[in-house]
Amino acid sequence: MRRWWLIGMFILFSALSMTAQTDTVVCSVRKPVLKGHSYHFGEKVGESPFLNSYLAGSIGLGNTGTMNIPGIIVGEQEILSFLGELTFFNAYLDYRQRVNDWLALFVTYQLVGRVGTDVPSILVDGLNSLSGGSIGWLFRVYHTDRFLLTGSLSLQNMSGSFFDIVGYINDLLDSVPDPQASQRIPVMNGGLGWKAAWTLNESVGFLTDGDIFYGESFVRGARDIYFSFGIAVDIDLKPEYNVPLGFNMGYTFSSLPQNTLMEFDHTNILSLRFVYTGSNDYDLGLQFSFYRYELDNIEVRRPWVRNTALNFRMYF
Amino acid sequence: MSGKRYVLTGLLLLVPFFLRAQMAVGVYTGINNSKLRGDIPEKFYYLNLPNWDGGIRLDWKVNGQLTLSFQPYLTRKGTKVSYRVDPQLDPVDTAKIYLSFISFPVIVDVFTQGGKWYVLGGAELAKPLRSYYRLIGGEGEKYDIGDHVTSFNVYILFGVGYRHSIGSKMKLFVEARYFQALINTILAGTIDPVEIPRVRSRGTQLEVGMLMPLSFGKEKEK
Repeated sequence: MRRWWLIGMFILFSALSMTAQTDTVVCSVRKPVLKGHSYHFGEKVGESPFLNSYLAGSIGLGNTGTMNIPGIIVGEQEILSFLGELTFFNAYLDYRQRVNDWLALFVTYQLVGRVGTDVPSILVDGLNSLSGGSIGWLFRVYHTDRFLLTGSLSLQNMSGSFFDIVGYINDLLDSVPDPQASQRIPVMNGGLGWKAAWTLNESVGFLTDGDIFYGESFVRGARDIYFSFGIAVDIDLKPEYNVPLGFNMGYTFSSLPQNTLMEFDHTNILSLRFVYTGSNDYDLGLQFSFYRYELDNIEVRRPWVRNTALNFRMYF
Repeated sequence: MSGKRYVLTGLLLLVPFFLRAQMAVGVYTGINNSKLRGDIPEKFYYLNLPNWDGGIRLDWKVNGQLTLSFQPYLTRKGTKVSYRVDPQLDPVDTAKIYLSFISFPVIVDVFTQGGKWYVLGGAELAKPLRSYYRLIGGEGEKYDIGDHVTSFNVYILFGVGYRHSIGSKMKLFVEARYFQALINTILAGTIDPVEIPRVRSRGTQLEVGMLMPLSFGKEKEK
């Protein structure tokens, strides 16, 4: 159903584009441009404040590097201790439809997950994934020739699947009634956000964004507030050196579960994105992200996660 | 002064506003395809169930791009429930759950430059009228589940619409909407021993209707 719904919305909003941009495009460049600087956006860091129509996607993989993870203590004996890695995967799809010069509608879908690379690490850390989407409005708040500020209202629907062997064994040892190894938890949140861009010159622009969500938690019976705040600098080498290459460097402080894969925790995400800037209609980038991750159930030093993602954005 | 007099006085005070405003009234009907989504007992599945709805609408044209619309309507939403007897067999459609509401949506339509296509967004307050389930393959008997359903719900709506003029005044509109309940449909702890605390209704609607401008305003609708 979700797939058909997304396809249906895509077709309907594509039809809108026949009339949505008749007199608002100021030049043949479809990419967002502010005071001569053409902006390029990554995933999670420095989101677009522009009211353009586009389809964006990203697919990425990451890992923690080798970790020495202590096992489960039974009596005075430690079992399941191992050396291993955790792999992270993520896929993201974002469709934005411009309605007029002050309003756009967006629909997103994402899948993120974490899994051990071998049997012991799967046993110890389980297999966890979050999937779901959001739908919302993006509206212009303030606009000058160098600065653009937009706000957003959205509804986010996600579902978490958690397979936790350690928790299950601990529950068995603690005689917890009705212990379960796997859980599926649906959550829904409402969110408010803002995104802004400021152009220094044709080569350099700055981006910032923030979101706050309130709603259900992945811990049953609880409600929570999730937030995210990011800044980024966007550099385009094309105007100055005629080289079709750009960089986007950013930092995000986030407690969104899709970023942390954790409840009641936050993470600091550093990001560097290389982007091909030669086309006026699309951009294609390779994004490297680094963040620290806290392992549930296990008390070890927070490992760094290195994530590489290939992402595209097609404007129409 | 009694409550009725307050209401009457309020309505009288609003008359000049309505005389100046560009208003339109209409009727609409359509189909929806909804299901429950969220927690579900083991071996059960929620599937889409088509239903009907219909109502009236009162539109206020705020400016060339914005229209505010009040659209009270009767609707029936629900879900089909399937049950997997054996892991190797396909689930068997077991029951249909019907939730009838009277609903009061307030919707904002935002028109594109062409003036015919628009996107819409809003919220609706829904009061259940009757809730029951019927076993598939049974004798058609309806089993009331009103005690297990929340006393009201709030839905969020997103969608897209198209208006086409018919003659000099009438307009035909078609709208495709997505709706999502914000409040859990099932009252927690009322279905013993099954616990499904997070389950909500969501789905799509396709509505068709007619709009007729009220000719109080001096300006004609474009």
